[in-house]
Amino acid sequence: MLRFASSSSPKVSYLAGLLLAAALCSPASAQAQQAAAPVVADEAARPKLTKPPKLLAFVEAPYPESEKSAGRQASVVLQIAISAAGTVEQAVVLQSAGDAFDRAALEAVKQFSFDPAEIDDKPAAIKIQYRYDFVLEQAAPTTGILEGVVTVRGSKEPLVGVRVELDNGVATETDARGRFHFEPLAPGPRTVTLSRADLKPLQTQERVEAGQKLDATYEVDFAPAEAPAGDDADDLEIVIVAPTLTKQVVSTKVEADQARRVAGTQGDVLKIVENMPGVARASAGSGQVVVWGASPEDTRVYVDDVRVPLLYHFGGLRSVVHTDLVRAVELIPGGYGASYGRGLGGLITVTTRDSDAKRRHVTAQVDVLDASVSGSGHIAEGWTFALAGRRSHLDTTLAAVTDRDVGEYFPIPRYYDGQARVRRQLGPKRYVEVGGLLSSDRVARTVASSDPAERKQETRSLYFDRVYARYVSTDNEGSELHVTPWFGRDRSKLTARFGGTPTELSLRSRQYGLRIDYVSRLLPYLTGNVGLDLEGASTTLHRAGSLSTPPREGDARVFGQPPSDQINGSSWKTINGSAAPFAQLDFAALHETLHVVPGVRVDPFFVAIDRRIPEEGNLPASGAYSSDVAVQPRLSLRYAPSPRASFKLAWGRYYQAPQVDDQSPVFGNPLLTVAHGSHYLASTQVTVLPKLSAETTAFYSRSRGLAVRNPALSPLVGQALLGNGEGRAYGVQFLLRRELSDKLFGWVAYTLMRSERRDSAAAAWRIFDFDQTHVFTALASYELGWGVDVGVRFRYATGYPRTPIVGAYYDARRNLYEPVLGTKNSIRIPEFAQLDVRLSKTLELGPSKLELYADVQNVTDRENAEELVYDQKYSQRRSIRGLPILPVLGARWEL
Amino acid sequence: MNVQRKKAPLCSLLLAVGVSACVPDFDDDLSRVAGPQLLALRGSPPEAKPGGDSILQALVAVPDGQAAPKVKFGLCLARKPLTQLGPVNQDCLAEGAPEDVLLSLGEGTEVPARLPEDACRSFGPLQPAEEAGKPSGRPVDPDVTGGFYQPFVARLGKQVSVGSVRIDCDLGGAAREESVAFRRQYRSNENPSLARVWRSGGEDLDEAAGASVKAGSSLTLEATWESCPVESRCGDGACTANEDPSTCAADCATPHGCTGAERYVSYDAEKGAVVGRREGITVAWFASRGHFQTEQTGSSEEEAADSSRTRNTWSVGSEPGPATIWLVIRDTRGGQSWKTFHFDVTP
Repeated sequence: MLRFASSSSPKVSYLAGLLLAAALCSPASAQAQQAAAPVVADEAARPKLTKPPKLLAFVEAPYPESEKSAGRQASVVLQIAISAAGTVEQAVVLQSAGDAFDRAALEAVKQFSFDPAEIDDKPAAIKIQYRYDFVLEQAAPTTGILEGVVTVRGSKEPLVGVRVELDNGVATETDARGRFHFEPLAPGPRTVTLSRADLKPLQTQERVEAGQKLDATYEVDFAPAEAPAGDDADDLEIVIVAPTLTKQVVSTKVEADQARRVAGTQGDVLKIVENMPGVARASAGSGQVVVWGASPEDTRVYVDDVRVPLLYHFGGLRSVVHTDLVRAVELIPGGYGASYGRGLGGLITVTTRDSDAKRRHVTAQVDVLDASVSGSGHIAEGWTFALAGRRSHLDTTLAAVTDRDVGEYFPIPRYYDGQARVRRQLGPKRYVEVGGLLSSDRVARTVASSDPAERKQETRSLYFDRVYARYVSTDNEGSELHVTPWFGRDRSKLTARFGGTPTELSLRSRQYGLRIDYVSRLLPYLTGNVGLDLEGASTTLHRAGSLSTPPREGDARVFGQPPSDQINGSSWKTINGSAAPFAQLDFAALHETLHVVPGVRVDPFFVAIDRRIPEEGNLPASGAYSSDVAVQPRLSLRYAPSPRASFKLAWGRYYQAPQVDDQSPVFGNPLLTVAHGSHYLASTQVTVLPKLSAETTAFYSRSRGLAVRNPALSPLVGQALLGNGEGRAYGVQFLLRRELSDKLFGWVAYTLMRSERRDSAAAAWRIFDFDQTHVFTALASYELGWGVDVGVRFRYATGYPRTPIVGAYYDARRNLYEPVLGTKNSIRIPEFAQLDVRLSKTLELGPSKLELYADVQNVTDRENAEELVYDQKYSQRRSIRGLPILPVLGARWEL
Repeated sequence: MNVQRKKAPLCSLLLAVGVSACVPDFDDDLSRVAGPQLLALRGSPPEAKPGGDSILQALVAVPDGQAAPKVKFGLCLARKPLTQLGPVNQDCLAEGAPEDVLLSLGEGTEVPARLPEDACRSFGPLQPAEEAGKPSGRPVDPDVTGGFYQPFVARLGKQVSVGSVRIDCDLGGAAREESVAFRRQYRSNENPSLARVWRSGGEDLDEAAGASVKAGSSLTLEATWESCPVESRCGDGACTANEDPSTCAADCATPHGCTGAERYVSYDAEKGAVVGRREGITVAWFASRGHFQTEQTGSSEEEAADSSRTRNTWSVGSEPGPATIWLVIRDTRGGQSWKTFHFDVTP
């Protein structure tokens, strides 16, 4: 009798059959199983077994439920009588394992069929022993689980009824706790789409691992049409983060509540940009944004895809967009994708927030600087609006505390701004809106004197407005289309008089733009982004005064130096523009851990100017036209080998048209060409703890074709500037950040940087006027409870470079001293260090809230130097002191 | 005037509302002459044609009892690049500058000088001479009065001063009719002069006689200059616009201008027209003791028609002894002259 063994597990039944076959066919195996040696039925004849039976059809015995539930395993030894035809004639239990196992085994083996045994080469009946093993085997994991929760961004409120759909068509909805669950799922990448009529569709990629449960948390925003009425709907939010599908290489995200509570911002969420890594500390009152060592004018600012000339009002006290209308701001210091261009520096994009479709909200805020109001909400079914306005009253505040004409000595910023928008929801995920914004700044300063040479007067103003229409469509797949045509006007004017020397620079411009941006997932591993970025401007300019006033970067001068009294004048008109198509792909590989994002942008710049050389007698004006097609490749890579670590690389070519005020035939050069540069950056991000992350980014930028003064003794006519300048900046920035948890958030940002310029390829490098070696910012905010928040901020920054004075000589014609300058930018303003504190208390007043806050800057009253100044003979040097301890008290009411 | 002094009391208040930063106060006083110092440089005449002559003169203030060092004069021949903001190419300031950069003129308080023939091309409105294979360069920008200047350098020990002689050039870049009109109306500058200086409410000061003043007192001084005619009128004593020997021999037989705020014309390149103007006048005040309330006073071009007088207060100082004050009058076209008065500061 032969002895065979099998198992009850279906997963091993085929294998058992093979073993059986091997046992039957292999004499060695048969020999090895001595106990299973065949027993011939007719022993007297002693026939010879010439062929053992072979199991052809194995039938698995059902595992007895009672035994399975009890977790018992067993083996039943049976004797099977096989006929000469191969059928099972009889089966009896030789070694019982219990009634349940025995019956199951018997029923199974009776259904076996065999290739009959042969004795003396003839089919013959035979009996064999067969051991049937009932083994409880743990199945190897072949599926995974995906579950998670969907909440409202910011408030963390769970969302019920959100449809969660996978790319295999399986879908579910979130329960009352906002949770969803998928099981089982085949391992591999999964595209997850979240949708609800009132939500902005969100599509993301997850990776399901066999035998593992993936617990995901999705924070979503409401679509404006059907936003739920919640107390948190009006929460301010600032998101410095990449778009859903096309992520920038360097990005940081700050929640709304966090941004508002940062000390030193006076509640202006856009001022958070000043605290980000890579951003130099601006001089007090300048309002300039210097990113990664680029000139302030090289960093472009967009509000809802509409370019605006500046982010902050004069003096840097306030941003030009009302805080309550800001939903997100994205600061990309460099290496950005193909959808943007025309700037050699960074990129700042501000997104206005959606209005609540069911309620109306009103806020009012006042402090010593300005007062503002905002309103937003529904108008009618499918219609919403947003409106905000602000006006400074610092001049009035000062008048209340002093009867002196403070404007005699100090420039007092006067500003106002406003934004308005009406939106029509065309569907759950489509809307069209029209809106506009405007901003006005003016500062004036007058110094009276009995000495005509000491009389000074300066007035600067800047006004801009924008009107735009916008169409946005999003589908369930996450594809998104933005179309934004816009129109606007810029008007700026500088008039000054220093003694008898006048200065005037006025600009009136009409700006036109169109942005079309379409993002779509083309394949599960491929996202595409194509669009058109069109901008044009028609500008009329007038400039009069000294060639060196206002000064430009690199000028050998010192603060307060009287302008040259050699003057000239020029009026000119320019028309410039570019219609740049762009395309970008995001390839995902290695289970979404690697993203390769190549892109290209083609900017066909053109410039037409009405005067190529200065006016001369009765000669007719001779204009000039130039064009340049700039092909700008971009590439970024992101590799995240684990959820806690990622590595990024980026490179790109960037082009920038010459500034229109550099194209004067007298003061500049109408034929300046497009400047160009490259950005290189590498970044790592590590999640140290669940709420603590560290990001380090190294960067290098190189630019050429920058406008610089013509160093020749006799420059050619129309060539006061040349496009020979070069620049480079390199450094590393570090961000250690704690997300809001246990009522505490904060970060530490440090940038080590060097930025240099030279006036030609043959010249030596010199330090850039806006170079800051060290920029350190540490801030934290803590909720004390009872509506009380406290925030602190500490900043340290190296002073800007300045040129030393090595002597002076007397100008007898003008009765003043002129400095003799040493090596350009070889000394620095002393370093800056300041500690700021913010304390706020929120009171519930029925349906409204009242927040009282005190934002105290420079609590240690440190005497920071903001600029170097000299006496009239340039023999003594001192510093202009920055802000002393400065409490800004204010209140914000919200309904 | 030290304007910064007025800012200090307001500084804290303004900073408290975040208006601006605070400007430090300096104790410098340009009116105080503590050692030999060059206070003025002029050409006489103050304006000349290319190739013309002018006597370069220096006012060296020497406090009582100190010796006057020599002044070394040099004519700067190097054009100033656009990247330098001052009135002169800084190569001309270097001691031992080569002769093709700084032409030595000699030593003394006055030296004769002849303007280069190409002064209007090097420092004026005419384009520089073409170099081989290259087009002409850019003309020099005029000053606020439409003038161009030949710079010269004066060294007094280690002190370096720059003076200038206005160059009488034809217009560059103007239409022919404007050039003709300019040439017909423009008259070279005349150095201004202080007509009178007197104690406020008291007697005139005399350069030769001297005066006395009490230590610790304050002395208000007034000065005046010639009141120039508002309109050209033959017989007014000044050969002005549209007058020449053929039309007004009385004024132009021996051409001379007015020693006050003269009327003149300049070419406004933006308007493409010749426009009439009037000089501004300033008076710089210097003292070997004490200090003046304001370092410089005067009238701007806009005010010049209404005023030919100025005043200042001299805080004499508490120490008795000899004292000297110097008054330098300047017009906006580069003309200068001066007066010196000696005092005996009594206890």
